[in-house]
Amino acid sequence: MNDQNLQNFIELSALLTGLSSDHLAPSDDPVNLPPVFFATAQSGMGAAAFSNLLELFVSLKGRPEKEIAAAILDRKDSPIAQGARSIMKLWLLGSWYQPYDLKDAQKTKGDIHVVSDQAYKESWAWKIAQAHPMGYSQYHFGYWAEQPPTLEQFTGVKAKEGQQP
Amino acid sequence: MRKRPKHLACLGAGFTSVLAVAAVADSPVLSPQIPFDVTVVVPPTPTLESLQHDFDLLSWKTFVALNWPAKPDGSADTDAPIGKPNTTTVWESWKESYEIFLPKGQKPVGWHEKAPLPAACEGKGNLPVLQQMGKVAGVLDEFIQPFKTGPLVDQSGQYTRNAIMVNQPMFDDIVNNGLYSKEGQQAFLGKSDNRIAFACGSNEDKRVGAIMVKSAWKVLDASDKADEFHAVDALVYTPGNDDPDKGALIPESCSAQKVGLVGLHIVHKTQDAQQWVWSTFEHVRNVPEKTTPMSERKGPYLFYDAKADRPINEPPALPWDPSKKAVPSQIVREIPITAAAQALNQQWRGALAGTVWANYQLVSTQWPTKPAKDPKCQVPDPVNPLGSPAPSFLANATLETYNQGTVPQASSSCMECHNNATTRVTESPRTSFADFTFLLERAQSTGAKE
Repeated sequence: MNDQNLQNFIELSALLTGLSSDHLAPSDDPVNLPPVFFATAQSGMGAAAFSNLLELFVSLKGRPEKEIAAAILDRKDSPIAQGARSIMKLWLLGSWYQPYDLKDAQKTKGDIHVVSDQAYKESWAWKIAQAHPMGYSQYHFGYWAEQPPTLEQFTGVKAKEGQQP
Repeated sequence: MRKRPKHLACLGAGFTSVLAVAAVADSPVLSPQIPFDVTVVVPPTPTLESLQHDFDLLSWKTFVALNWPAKPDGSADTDAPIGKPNTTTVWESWKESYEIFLPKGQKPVGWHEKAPLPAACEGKGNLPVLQQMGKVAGVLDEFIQPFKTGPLVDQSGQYTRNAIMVNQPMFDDIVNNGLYSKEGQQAFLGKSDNRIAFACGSNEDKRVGAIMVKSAWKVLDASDKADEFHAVDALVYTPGNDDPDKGALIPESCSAQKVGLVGLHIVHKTQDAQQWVWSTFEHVRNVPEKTTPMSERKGPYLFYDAKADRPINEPPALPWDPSKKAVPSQIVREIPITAAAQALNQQWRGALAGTVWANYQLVSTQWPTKPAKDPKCQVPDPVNPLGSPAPSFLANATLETYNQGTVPQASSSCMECHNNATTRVTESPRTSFADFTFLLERAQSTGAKE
């Protein structure tokens, strides 16, 4: 992994999740999950497919987001699309969902593993739900009786009209 | 290149005049002035590593200032050099927790007045008392560790003792707001705008904030060289226990003993670190690191014996009885001190050469990478009250001996643990938040009807 590949992975991840690169990879992040997730995705997809995904993304940089998403995700059975979907789940759930068999690496489609305790704790599904991970909370006693902070405060993304703010 | 986070811009703002000085004067300057806040060395762009260095520097400067010899009024004696023998340090003139949280929620005596000694210690000298009273009075509270993980036993079989001191800004906040009793806390938090928020240090206002110091001491005996320690004569007090359900049956005792400092937490609340700055120091001979090869574990260590075949980092067998000699603890540091901290330690220990303080080292400093930004230093961040601590885990081998490691919510992280501290008024997040100190849980009831 070099810095540019990692940066491309972070930007791709931002596009796939709808969360900003600054949120996914703050420059002063003591947990520093991006390189861990990079290595997880590379290992899970296989180096060749992972490299293809990043190269495709780089070739599409600057195009409208919908166009990039279509190019990556529309061929649903391709390793690129399946890998991209697993990368989304990785950020959202802190777990790797093996998208297809990789016989050489003894990985079987459907296998799931939690990447690490920190990956679980820092995964984004909790923040998008304006909640906290099961079994881990930093909120103060009695927080459950009060309105949670807004979606924007948690994720930097404004809630759509009609949604819980 | 990634953008510089906004909060770092905030941290860096206003410091430009001192930054050049900081960059040039990286060699240690021994000063009795307690730093007001972190000084961020901005150019070219702050990184996690550069900020860690800035906070580690703050730790060393604070360590030096707090260990400066004190005048009788507790202020630093600027005519005396640091390390002058047989002097009381600045922080040792502060108030110990037992002097603040009294039986029946009584009001503490004033800052400059001496609190009464435990009855068993009367007539044994005007010495500091090593004792801690837990929120539920218990005989073991003064020498067990967080979450009752167990006492630390030195190579002579003696239990290590702890004390918690607070500085005057924190003492004043507690006393002036009536937080020393349960009913006082209820009255204070009964006002809907009130919340627990201790004073913040500030570079802008040149103000020292609330500071807590937790110290760990070993009883010195013939096997120790007293001149290698910051050593004091203290009254080592053990409350009696006659209830077998609470542990070993122990008679109350108090004896004057020479004790040596082996661990020191310094915790300072500042404007740029509203979740406090958590600095931790140890005696250099405490323990080897887990990664130290067996062949290099020469020691002799205070809490490890290279020749002994005992399980590592396990508390003594129950029942814990400080009145009897115990099997010595066999402790290693789980998370090694970083190379950067070691380099800084070398500089500062070099500057302190010839004094006893050269025998102490910084383990690390934990600080919030996402500090709360309330201008008044009162309201926690609603989304991230913890502030994403760096490093994620930090333990002092003498104070969090048995919960070192890297498991979230289980291994020692100063900020994560203290973020769980509550007041005696657990009605809502506002009333329950204790601003990162467990001390308020020690407040006892006056017995007055609610």
